[in-house]
Formats: sequence, structure tokens, C-alpha cells
Amino acid sequence: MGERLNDGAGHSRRRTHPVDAAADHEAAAGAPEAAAAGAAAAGAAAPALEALLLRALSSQALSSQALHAQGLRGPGDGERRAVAAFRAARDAGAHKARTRRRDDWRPRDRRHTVRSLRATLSVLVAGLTLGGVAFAAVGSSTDGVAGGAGRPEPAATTTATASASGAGSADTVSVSPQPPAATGRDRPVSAEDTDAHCRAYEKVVGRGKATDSTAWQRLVTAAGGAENVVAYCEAAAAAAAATSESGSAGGGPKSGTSPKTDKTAEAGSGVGAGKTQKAEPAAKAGKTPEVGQSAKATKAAKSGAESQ
Amino acid sequence: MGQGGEPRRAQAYDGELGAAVTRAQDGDEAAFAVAYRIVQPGLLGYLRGIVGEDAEDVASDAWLEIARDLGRFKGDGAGFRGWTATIARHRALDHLRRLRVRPRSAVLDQDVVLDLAGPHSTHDEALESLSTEHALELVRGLPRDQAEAVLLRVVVGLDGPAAARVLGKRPGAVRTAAHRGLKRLAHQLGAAGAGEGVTDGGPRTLGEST
Repeated sequence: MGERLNDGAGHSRRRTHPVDAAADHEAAAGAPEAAAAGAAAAGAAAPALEALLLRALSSQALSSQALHAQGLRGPGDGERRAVAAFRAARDAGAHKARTRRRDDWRPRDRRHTVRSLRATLSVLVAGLTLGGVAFAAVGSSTDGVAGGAGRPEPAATTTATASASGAGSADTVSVSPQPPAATGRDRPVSAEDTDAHCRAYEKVVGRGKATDSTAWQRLVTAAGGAENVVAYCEAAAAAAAATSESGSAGGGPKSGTSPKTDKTAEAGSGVGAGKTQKAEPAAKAGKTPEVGQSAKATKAAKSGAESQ
Repeated sequence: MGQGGEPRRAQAYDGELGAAVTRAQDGDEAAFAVAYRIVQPGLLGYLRGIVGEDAEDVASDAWLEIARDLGRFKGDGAGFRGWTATIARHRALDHLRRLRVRPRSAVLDQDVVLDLAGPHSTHDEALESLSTEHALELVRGLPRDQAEAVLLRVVVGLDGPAAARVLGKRPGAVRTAAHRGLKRLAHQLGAAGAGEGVTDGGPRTLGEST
């Protein structure tokens, strides 16, 4: 935090650089005392830690640079060796070498900006595309729900409960022998609705706005007024009971007699076959196997008659 | 505000450095020498912070590699600082690895330091070398990552991303390390600098402001 607060004061010092300082040293090279005073003044005027470190850690190199510039020393050993190595590498053609990834220090700012721009655009386009697809999908699915699948669902469950709760026997017998799962999907017979609503109506009526819903309103309309609902329901229940009674009365004997009638029918056909087969040999007289067959057929006809 | 100040500070010289490097890549020997003189002080300061008194030798090795691979380099002046710092760092780490295998005594190290400081024995240089030693001691007392981050940012003059690339870390981590290192140095200077002549003005102010 110290260098931050002192930044304003240390700004001019901060802009100095090893080479700048070297130039200072060169200028003041003739007078060591002046250089020392300058260094001390710089230290006092610019207390920034970074400047202090910079000066301290490269001062030795700077003084040798200053000496070198003065001509008191030749080019530094390091520099001479480096330049010699450079010359050797250049003459050997080593400087034609391919740039590796770690040798590429070109600034990346512009490339980065371009890339980020491209990334932003592609993200935008992808987002719009996906959003459009999602919107379209959501729209079509709501349409489908509104059209057929969603709405009838509650009605279907009502039908299922209604048929399961007892009145179904009359319905299934009278209307169709299909399994209840299949009938549940169709639009319910209004009798069932009425029956179920009638049973629930007594519990619902007088409880807030429940009777305002469409189903109850339909019941009330069918009854011809709220006060007639009870009477209408009794009538409907009586009608339903009558239908179920007649259905069970018709169904009971039928199930009992059906095996017999089936047998009779089979026996009759057997007799008929015997007769026809008898008639055939009569037409084609003289052929024994057919006669034997006809005998068998008569036997079967006889046994059928006996069982009857 | 070191982050904001350094690129500006380096810009004026990076233009010159970039031009020199381009000419050197075309085969100009004098331009290579110019680049050497611009880069070497910061590089040496950085290496001193890592390997201490062996910095000159390590820098010499690094420059051999730089001279050999100069043709591979692509970039401007600031990039050249980063590239050379990377090479120097690798040489320094190699050097430290060798030292770890064959360690030397601390007494010998001390002798070498005194010998190196010996030739520059005028009054001001004695003062300067004293403060250099002090600063070196402080920086080398930091954890390695903080010391390197501080040196690369402050002494070599790299910006955050370049320093991060040299260290092989993410810029955020390097920024944090540099910040912590500088803070710690400021504390130490504030504590230790009271009786010292050369750094008297700086540390006291730093101590007050923190």
C-alpha cells in the first residue's frame, strides 16, 4: 500500500530506467560526488520501494556500464562473449532456425480481441438458434396439449372413477363389452357424470364457490335450476338403478344357458353333417368306405342326441 | 500502481530495443550489442535475486543461448525482455540444481561477494553496493515465488502477463505474489531501515504509509 500512496510523488522517479540511470551516470561520470548526491537525492525524493529495488539491484551493473561508457574498461566480458556467440551463430546459419512456440512473444492483444469478438458473435448466434428451437418446441407442445391430450385428462379420470364406483356394470353391459381402459379414453357417457356429480353434489353444495365450476354448472343446467338438482339426481339414480337391474337380470340367465345352446348348436351341426353325409352315399351307392364313414357320422349324431 | 507504471516506463526503451533486435536478427552485430546493454542490467538484477553472486556466470550462459537462438525469436522489445528472462530463468534453475548436487559453504559465498564488490571501491559505489547487498538480502529472504515475481515486475520491467509467462503461472497468481512480496519488503525496510543512512528517507515513509 505504501508504494500506492506514494505513487504521485514517485512518478518521475518511476519512469526512470536502467538505461536512463546509466545516462545519468555517464553525465556525472567526471564527478563521483555529484553522482552520489544525485543517487541520495533520488532515494530521498522517491521513496517508492520499486524504485529503490530497481536502483539497488541493478546499480552494480549500471556502474560497470558507466565505466564501460567512460572507456575505463573495454566492453564487458559478458558482452564480448555474447557478441562472439552471436557472430558464430549468425555465420553458422543458426539464425534461420524455426520459431518454436516458446519463442513467439508477439503481443496477443489484437488477436485476442478478434477472437473474443468472434466468440461473442458465435455465442449470440448459437443462443438465438437454440432459443428459437426451444421456443418453437414449446409452442408446438402447448398447441398439442390444448388440442387433444391435456384437457380431456381430468374428464377421463372422472369417467374412470365413475365407472369403477359401481354404475359401470350397467354401462359396460349395455353399451359395449370392451375393457374399461378402452372406454375410459372416450368421451364419458353423461349418465356417469351425472351419477358421480350427484353423489358429490351434496358434499360440495354450500362450500364456497365450488359449485360455480363448469362441471357443477353443467349439472345445474341439466337439472334446470339449483333447486331441482336433488330431484334430478334422484331420478337419474333411479334410472341408473333400473338399467343396471335389467342388465343383470338379462345377463344372469344368459350366462347360465349359453353352454347348453352352444352344445346344441354343435350337436345340431353334427346331426346335419351326418345327414348330409348320409345323403351323399345315397347318391353314390356301392362305395364301402363312404358307407363306413356315414355309419360313423350317424353314431356321432346319435351320441349328440343322447347327450342332449 | 506498479501494474500501471511499468509498461509506460518500459515503452520508451522497448521501441529502441525492438528495433535493435530486428536489426540483430538481420545480422547486425552492433545492434545485438545495443540490445545486450539495454537488457543486461535488469536481467542481472533478476539473476542476482535468484542465484546471488553467481548471477554474472549464469547471465553469461544465458546470453550464449540468446545469441544462438536469436533467429527463432518473434516479437517486439517487451517480448524480447520476456524471452530473455525466460532463458535466464532456465539457466538459473539449472545452476541451482547443480548447486544442490554439489553444495558450497556459506563462507566461500561470502568471500565471493566481497571479491565481486571489491573492484568498485570508490565512495559512492561502496554505498551503492552496500544498499545492493541489503536489498538483495531482503529479496532473497522472500519466498521464491514472491521474490521472482517482484524481480520480474520491478527490475526486469515486465508487465503482468509477460511475468506470468516467464514463471509459467497464471497472471493472477503472479500479481498476488508480487503484491505480497512488495508488502513484506516494505515492512522489513520500515523495521530495519531506521538507522541506515542511504535508505533512510524511503523506508520511514513506507513504514508510515502502511
